[in-house]
This record gives sequence, structure tokens and C-alpha cells, in this order.
Amino acid sequence: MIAEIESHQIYAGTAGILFCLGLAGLFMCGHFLKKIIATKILGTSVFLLLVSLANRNQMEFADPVPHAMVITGIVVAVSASAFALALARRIWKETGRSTFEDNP
Amino acid sequence: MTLLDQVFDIVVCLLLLVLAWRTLSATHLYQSAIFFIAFGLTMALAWVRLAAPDVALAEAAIGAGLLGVLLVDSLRVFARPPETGRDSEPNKPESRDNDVTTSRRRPQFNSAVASVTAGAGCLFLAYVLVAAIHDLPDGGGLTAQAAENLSRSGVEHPVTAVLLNFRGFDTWLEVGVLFLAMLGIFCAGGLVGFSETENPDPPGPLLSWLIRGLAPVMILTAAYLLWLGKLAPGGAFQAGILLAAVGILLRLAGIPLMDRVPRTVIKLGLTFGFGTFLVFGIIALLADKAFLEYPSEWAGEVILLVEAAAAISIGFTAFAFFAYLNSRDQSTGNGDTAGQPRETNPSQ
Repeated sequence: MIAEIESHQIYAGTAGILFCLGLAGLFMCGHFLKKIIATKILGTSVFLLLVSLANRNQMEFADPVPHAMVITGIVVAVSASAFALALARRIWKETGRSTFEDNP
Repeated sequence: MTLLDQVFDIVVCLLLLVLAWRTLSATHLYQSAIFFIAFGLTMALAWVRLAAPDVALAEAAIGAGLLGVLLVDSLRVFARPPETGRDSEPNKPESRDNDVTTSRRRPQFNSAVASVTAGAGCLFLAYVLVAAIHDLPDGGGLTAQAAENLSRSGVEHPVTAVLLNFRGFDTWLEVGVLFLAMLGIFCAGGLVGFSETENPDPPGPLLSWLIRGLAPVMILTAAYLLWLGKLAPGGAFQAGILLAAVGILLRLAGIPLMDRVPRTVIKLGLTFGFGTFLVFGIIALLADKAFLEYPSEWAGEVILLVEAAAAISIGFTAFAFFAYLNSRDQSTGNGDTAGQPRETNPSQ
């Protein structure tokens, strides 16, 4: 049974579970930093799915379009995270809040 | 595919899941950040297993490295009670968990039922996703088209061909997104110079010397990666982030590069990549071609030029992320003077 599973299938399945973990983290974690990290995990799981699907029909090389999309995506995700960090730090500095809760 | 390969893949996947879980469930933010960096590095391993070494390089350098640095730098800020200096807010919440520990009273709708429901929902979603992924049809993809046109793209490495030739538009806009994110960080931070103060505690002489010695080697490696992108994994992003790493290391060694470089050069560096893409795009338009379509006989040279410009811009921008965020907090308290019209601070 285990012999039928291809490498990319294992990773694609993991991507699905990671997505849920990230989603749960996004809702359940309070601190801004953890929310940002959870969003990053969420995004990474989507990248993982894309790249593992690129590997499905191996010709002479794996599908380069998802690879290029993911490289672009990683950079964009990091710039968005950096912006989010800047916002979180500003909020912390101005109000002393590190969560969205009303009574920290 | 041998059994050993499978075992390795499964171990990597389990490691990814465990690290993601630990990242999100750690009670201490510092743990979270470190687990997240480990997660990023494991992810790089997964990319290598998926035959995507370009993505692995990018993830290790950007996803784990750069973001890790930014996260750890932010921890320092959150570990310290904020000096808000806003008297207009009379009962500002005295944050009780000023230490980096996140509060454990989570979730807010404090009931076991809610947690169980959320957990069950997540499990169900995971099941649906995995089943859906399993049912995806095989085939499709653009490998054939990419292979067919590779000889006309001017480079030999398919990923670079897609990034800078076939889908150059994406990369151009991506450099634009980086630029926008930096403008956003400027706006969120208020106007300050890149650095008012030197690093308060510079490392020892050995580390400082080592970093000074390594910097030229790293710049050389970045140039090599850039050149290598033509025929093997590597390219503008990886090279750019390596350049940013040089800047970050030098800054941590007490050499604030952004102070010494004239402002015009910084501005030029930040917009250089975006501008170069634009110039070549407009040249292509004037020559009655599609936007960002390169003439196939010179495509290799044009791509190298554009890539170099993009790498410099990416390096500058990524370094500016760090330098700007980092210098903002070093200046909390007394250094908030230079060109900061944002807040007047009557209490100090």
C-alpha cells in the first residue's frame, strides 16, 4: 500500500493539514506576532501544495511556472509580514496593546 | 522511489507538522520565533525533496532567514514596556503581560465546547482538503510549453526563464510590491532617519572582524548566484537577499551602512529594479513588441541586466526593512528627534 504513494502526494497531504493548523493558529492565537506567524504558515502550506502539484507529471524537469510563482510568493509574503510587523510594533508603541482583545 | 525515500519524506512532513504545531502552541514568543525559523529550514528541505532547489534557496534565505531576523528583532520590542508618550489617552491599558509570554487565556470565548468545536471543524476541513487534493486530476501544467520555448528565452534554467522572460510581468510587479511594503513600513513607523544611534552593544572584536571579512565574500557569492541563475538554481531573489544579509550583518557589527551611504543612493537603489524593468518594458513597447518582451537574440544579456537591477533593489529593500525597523526602536526615548513631525512629546 505504501509503495503506491508518491513523494508529492505526501507533501500535498501535509499541505492540507498545515493549512488547517495555520488557520486555527490565526484565530486562536492572541498575540500579533503569533498571528503573523500563523498567517505565514498558512501561506507556506499553499506554496507547498503548488510545488507538490508541479511535480505530478515529471517530464525532463518539473513544471517551472508554479516554482516561479512560489518564489515570487515567498518574497511578497515576507514583505507583507514585514509590513504587518511594523504595524504591530506601532500599535504596541502607541497603545501598549499586543492583542486585539478589549481588555488585555 | 525507494522505501528510504518514502520514510524520509514522511519524517520531513511529520517534522513540518510538529514544528508548525509547536510554533503556534508555544507559550513563549521567543520559542515561537525559533520554532518558526526551524520550520522554515525544514520547509527548505521539503522543497529540495520536491525538486525545487530555487524555492529552497529562496525559502531558506527569505522565509527563514530574513523574516527570522525581523521576528527576533520585534521580540526585543515586545519584551519591553512601550514608551507611548501619549498623554491624551488617560487610562491606557497597562499591559499585564509585558513579558513576552502570551496569555494563556485563549480562546477568548472561554469554553471547552468552543475549543472542541473549533478542533473538530479544523479536522473536518483538513479531511476535506486532503481528500480534494487526492482527487485532483493528473496532468496539466505548463512544462511542455516551457520546455518548447526555453531555447528562445536566452537562459537555460527553466525557472529563471519563467521568472524573467515568460512571466517577467509578475517579477516586475513583485519588485513593486516590495517597494510598496517598504513605503508602508515608512508610513507605519513615522518619519525617522535610518539610524540615529549606533548599535548600543557591538559584538566582540572577533565577531566584528569576522563579519567584516565575510562581507566581501558574501557580495561575491551574491554575484555568483546571480550569474548562476542563467543555467542553474539561483538568481535575482537569492542574490538580492544575500546582499541584504551583508547589510544586516554589517549593521549588527556596528557599521550602520545606511548612515554612510548618501540618501540619493538609497533612493536610487530602492527604485532601481522597478525602474529597469519599466525601461526595458517601454523599450519593448516602442519597438512594437509586447510589454517586457525581449528580443530573442539579446534576451540573455537583457535578462542578466534586469536581474542584476532587481537583485540590487531587492537587497536594498530587504535591508531597509530591517534597518528601518531596527533603528526606530533604538531611538525610542531620547533619539526620536531627527525629522519626526509625528508626535510631540510633552512629558519628556
